[in-house]
Amino acid sequence: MINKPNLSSDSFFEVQNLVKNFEIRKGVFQKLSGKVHAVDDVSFKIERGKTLGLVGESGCGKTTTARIILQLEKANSGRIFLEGKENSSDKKSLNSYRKDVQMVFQDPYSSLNPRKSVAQLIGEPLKIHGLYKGYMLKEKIIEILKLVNLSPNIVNRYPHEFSGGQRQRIGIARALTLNPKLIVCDEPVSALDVSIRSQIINLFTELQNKNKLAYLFISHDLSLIEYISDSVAVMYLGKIVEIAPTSTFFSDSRHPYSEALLSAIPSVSPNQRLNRIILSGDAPSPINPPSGCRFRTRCPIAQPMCTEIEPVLSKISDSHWVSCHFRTS
Amino acid sequence: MDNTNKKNLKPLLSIKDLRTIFQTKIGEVVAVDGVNIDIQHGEILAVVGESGCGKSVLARSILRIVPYPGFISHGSIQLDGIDILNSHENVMNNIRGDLISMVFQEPMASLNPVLTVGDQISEILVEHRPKLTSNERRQKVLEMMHTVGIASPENRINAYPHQLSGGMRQRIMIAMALICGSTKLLIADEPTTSLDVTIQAQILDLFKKLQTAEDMSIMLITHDLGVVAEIADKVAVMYAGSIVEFSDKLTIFKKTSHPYTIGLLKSLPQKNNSSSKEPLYTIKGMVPSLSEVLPGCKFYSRCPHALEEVCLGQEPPFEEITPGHWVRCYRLNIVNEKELSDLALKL
Repeated sequence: MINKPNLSSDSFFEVQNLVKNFEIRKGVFQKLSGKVHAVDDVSFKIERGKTLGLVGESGCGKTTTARIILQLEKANSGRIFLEGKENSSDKKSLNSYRKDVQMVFQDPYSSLNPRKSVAQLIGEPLKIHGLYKGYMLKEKIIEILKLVNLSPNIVNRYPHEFSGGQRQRIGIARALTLNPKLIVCDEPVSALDVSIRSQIINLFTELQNKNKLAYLFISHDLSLIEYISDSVAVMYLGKIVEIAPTSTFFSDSRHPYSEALLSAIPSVSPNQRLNRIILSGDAPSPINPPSGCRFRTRCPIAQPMCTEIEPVLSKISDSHWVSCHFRTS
Repeated sequence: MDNTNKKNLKPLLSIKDLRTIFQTKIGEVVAVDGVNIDIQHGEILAVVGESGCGKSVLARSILRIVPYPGFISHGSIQLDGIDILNSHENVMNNIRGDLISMVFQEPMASLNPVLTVGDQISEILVEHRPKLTSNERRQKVLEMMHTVGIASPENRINAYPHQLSGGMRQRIMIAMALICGSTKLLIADEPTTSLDVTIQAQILDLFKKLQTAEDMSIMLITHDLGVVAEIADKVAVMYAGSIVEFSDKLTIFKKTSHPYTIGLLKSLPQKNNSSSKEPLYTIKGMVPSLSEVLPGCKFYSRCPHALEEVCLGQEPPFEEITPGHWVRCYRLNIVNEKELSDLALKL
């Protein structure tokens, strides 16, 4: 790290300079043959009770970032602060950190253990943290089920008996059991049907208002991000290329990649056809990211200097940051 | 769309009263229940519906590839004068992949992982154009790969599916569907669902180009109303095995009539209400399972305007309320004005 990291943080949740490389080893001697630069110098803040939307194409490092935040993956470097306290890796503090930060997964079909009943699924975190026992545990489980609008009668049923929407409610209930402060939602509605999707989205906003929850909301659906988040961060090949408050992002996005993403959303109003920016090609591999600006290979406004100099996130206003040589002024 | 001179032409594909049934242990599951659709020449028809509404079975019925224990029990399908349902299996084999082709949802699952993509594309030529020499085949494959937008096809022709990205694989699937060069109807079953938005935009663009360049009709199956608004000429909304609303795109979005279609459009997160964060509109209840027998209107239990005496008797007829706009609902005059104007404001 060149710039000296702050020793503390005054915001509710903050990550600073997260870096995660996955090593690729080949051959009999497992020789190191390359690195996947999954997350490269990612920093952002989330305020209490607010939502940060994280968008980007598949393979850009969104999920890895989420997994690092949950400490399911160890970052190569970087720091995570929750309520001003830095997260350390000793078991005790990790335990209490995990109580405060929970996750809702994308696929409600594969994220629930099919051999556990609803009571076991929801009760498990409470047992692990030794919070409730016996009768109290049952009461608590029923209370949580009511919170996500599920009937208390279902406690003894198994995941296969439920529809996708109900399963996702169970997934959310599981995340809520420990009264977390931050919930990381990794594409929580993309596997659901259109008519069920809005029910779950409403549940997310309702819970946020009730419990002052903060969300890190990962999605590729920009109209959903616009609806649910307070600010938006765009990732490309492991780096955040733009971060802005939602209204600013949707009216005045600066980065050419953000513009392309915005113009690629198919809009439901058939009269309003935008001038599409169709990016050519696929995102390059994160094993050998392009030199200089990582977006230059697909960028419509790339110049020779983009090959050599890597742009840094620079400030447009207090809350709006962009990493592009030409779009900062 | 220039429809004036096409109007008196016969439709390319005409489906009449199609019924596809799955005979299961728990009883008959009616996956497609009395569907009537026409697809005109050079037109993109979008079939919209949620999972389990029967849209994929409808597509498979057209190719007669409904998996066991399903079968087509009733109806007729005519493609340019060919009676699909009464054709011999050999005739069907000639039609599949030649006159009618299909692009499936998950390209990785539909491509053979142990054959190169070039081999897989040319396999169709071996089957349908046996007179071509291997050199001619290779030439055709390279041309087609170029047409569907694969850069430097010479380097890609010997690649295996896992070496390509999702968007590339979908392009290979499209190349396979079109390689014979005489495709009249392309059926695309959720072709962009597993792709990123930027790649989705590329693929939709490709469909549009192919439609105009080859004068091909496309039946696009999707649940994404954004994709529909983007690309379709006509839209059919399917619910629990039946088509509940059918019209051209503008009418569907501007003069929406069936309560289900209205509900779908209203429940989408829209611009402008991000600051107020009022809750999204929801359609109550769940998507019904097709094995349930639903008396009367199938949308009854979830419909905000349902009335027991009217809606629970017979299934509502599929009626043409204005020319070209078909709706299956008893309560059309009740679906209230305010709701529609709200919707119009949103769009």
